[in-house]
Amino acid sequence: MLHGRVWQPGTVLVRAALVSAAYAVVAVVLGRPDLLVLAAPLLVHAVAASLHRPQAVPSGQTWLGTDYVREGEGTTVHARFDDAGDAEHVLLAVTPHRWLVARPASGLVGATSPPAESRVDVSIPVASMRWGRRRLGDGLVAATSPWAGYQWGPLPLFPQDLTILPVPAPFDSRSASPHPIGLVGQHPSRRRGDGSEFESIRPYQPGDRLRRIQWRVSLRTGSIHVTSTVAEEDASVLLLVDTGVEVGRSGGVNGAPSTLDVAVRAAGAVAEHYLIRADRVGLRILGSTGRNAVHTAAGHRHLRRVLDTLARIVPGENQDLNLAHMRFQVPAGSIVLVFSPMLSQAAVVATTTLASRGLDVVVVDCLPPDLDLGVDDPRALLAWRMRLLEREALLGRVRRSGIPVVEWRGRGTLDEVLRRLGRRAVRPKAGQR
Amino acid sequence: MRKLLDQLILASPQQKAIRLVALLAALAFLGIVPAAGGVFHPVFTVVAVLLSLVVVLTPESNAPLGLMVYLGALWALSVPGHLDLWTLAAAVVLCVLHLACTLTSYGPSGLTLDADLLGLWRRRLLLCVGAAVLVWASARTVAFLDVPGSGLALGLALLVFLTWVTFLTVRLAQSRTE
Repeated sequence: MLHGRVWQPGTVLVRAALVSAAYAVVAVVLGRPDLLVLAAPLLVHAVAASLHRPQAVPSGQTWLGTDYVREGEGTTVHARFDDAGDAEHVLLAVTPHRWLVARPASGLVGATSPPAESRVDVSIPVASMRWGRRRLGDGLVAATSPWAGYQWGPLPLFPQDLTILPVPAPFDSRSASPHPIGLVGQHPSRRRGDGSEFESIRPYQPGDRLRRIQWRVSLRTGSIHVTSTVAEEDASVLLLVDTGVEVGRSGGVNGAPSTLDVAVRAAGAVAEHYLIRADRVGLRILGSTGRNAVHTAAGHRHLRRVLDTLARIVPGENQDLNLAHMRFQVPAGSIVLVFSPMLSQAAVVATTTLASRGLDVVVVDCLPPDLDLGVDDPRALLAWRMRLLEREALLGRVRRSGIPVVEWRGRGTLDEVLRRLGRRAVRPKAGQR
Repeated sequence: MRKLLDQLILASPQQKAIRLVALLAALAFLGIVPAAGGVFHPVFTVVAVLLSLVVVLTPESNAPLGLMVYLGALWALSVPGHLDLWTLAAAVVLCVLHLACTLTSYGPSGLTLDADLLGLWRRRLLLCVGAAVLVWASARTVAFLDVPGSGLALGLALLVFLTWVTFLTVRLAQSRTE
């Protein structure tokens, strides 16, 4: 709610009044009518501005069009002025922030109030070019009386929270989950049951449905045979997003991504892919002090929950990560997807710890090939090359632990690795839970 | 200074045009002074140009007030009090300078004023210029009729002026105390 300041005479009225008065005095005292001619327009302005002195003090309120948007999508900062009948012009100025774009780009919008209209609405479209949770809508409002004689404000606007959900990267996977569990879903499981995936033709057993009888084989063999199918079940996926390190300069939704941009958008894409297919998805944030876990569940509402948690990520928020106290709470049969540039020891330790429990872990490498470091210093570039060598060593350690590492490339990123895990799943294995 | 230059760079094309109009109006006034029979004084003119540049950088401040007082003083000291067309031209140019600075006072330099408001100010400019023409024509008529000086007229003029100053003082004082 905006309320408080009264109308004050502006510099325009003061200038018109003082200059016209000074000219008039000199004109009268020196007997110079030419100075009176010079003073006349200013005198008219001063008199008109004084006669239009506003009486009512406006009050106003501001709000955002929506609390949630996707990256690059816009919302509107609205301002409404009541008792603004005495105002001729109202101004809304939104403070510029990083990643925030407004139309017009200056963030300034004015409106001329229609005469005798006590309510004036002003709005300015804004959009955020990067995911995250931001405070926007702060700025100033002001109003000017007719003839620009008096000014109200400027009054500060209070910022409001806007959650910008990440735009999921393009992603699709045709591979089934290696460990489908549950009752319903789209992933063919290893056990027989009612499904659509063909398994075999076998002799009839009591309890088989009549519509499953395979008549051709039954006539040829002389005994009743039925078609058996495998059950279809849903998968459980746990997404582990490493936010401890962010490398690279983010260019927003249309620019070059940072490592965290890739991780967040990739995690969002994978979550959307599986949740749309009625699978269950959970989320853990590695390196977050706030909400760092979303339980494993299914449904469209759950997708919103996952994206909202991804949007709240603050890079490097928790540098003192204690993995000993971190509980991943991975449901049985889940496949764990680790989204990380693998530049920190913590990410490697977390990954190998999960794999040592016998879980299927896949590391999705989030270091983009076109990474913009934003530095030109040769020493910094040399340090980065050394860091990359260390990273190669860490990735080698991860691979030697039997954990597949795939580079994020959008569609089909997980196809091959999930197929391999599926084949591996049918083999007996020993592990520690 | 850097902040002022930033403001100039970030100004909308419309605001840049308005500031240019203010500068041209000030320069035109300086050109009218010798044309109206005044004395061209390079030092005073340079000072006025410098003040004009300050006005271009901060038109929403009190710099235009200083410039207009300075230009008025320059006019009063160097131009003989003729009521020719140059006087009317000087009044129009001064009005344009004042109104250009007024249009910059609506908000930060990036603001673009809408067409409705500009149309309103076009009509107001005509009204102000009309007042100048009226006073100029009246003064010329009085001069043509060669009306002798009158203490009563002078007293009346001073009374009107005093009333105006009192009215203005009360108005401004009320606004300050509210």
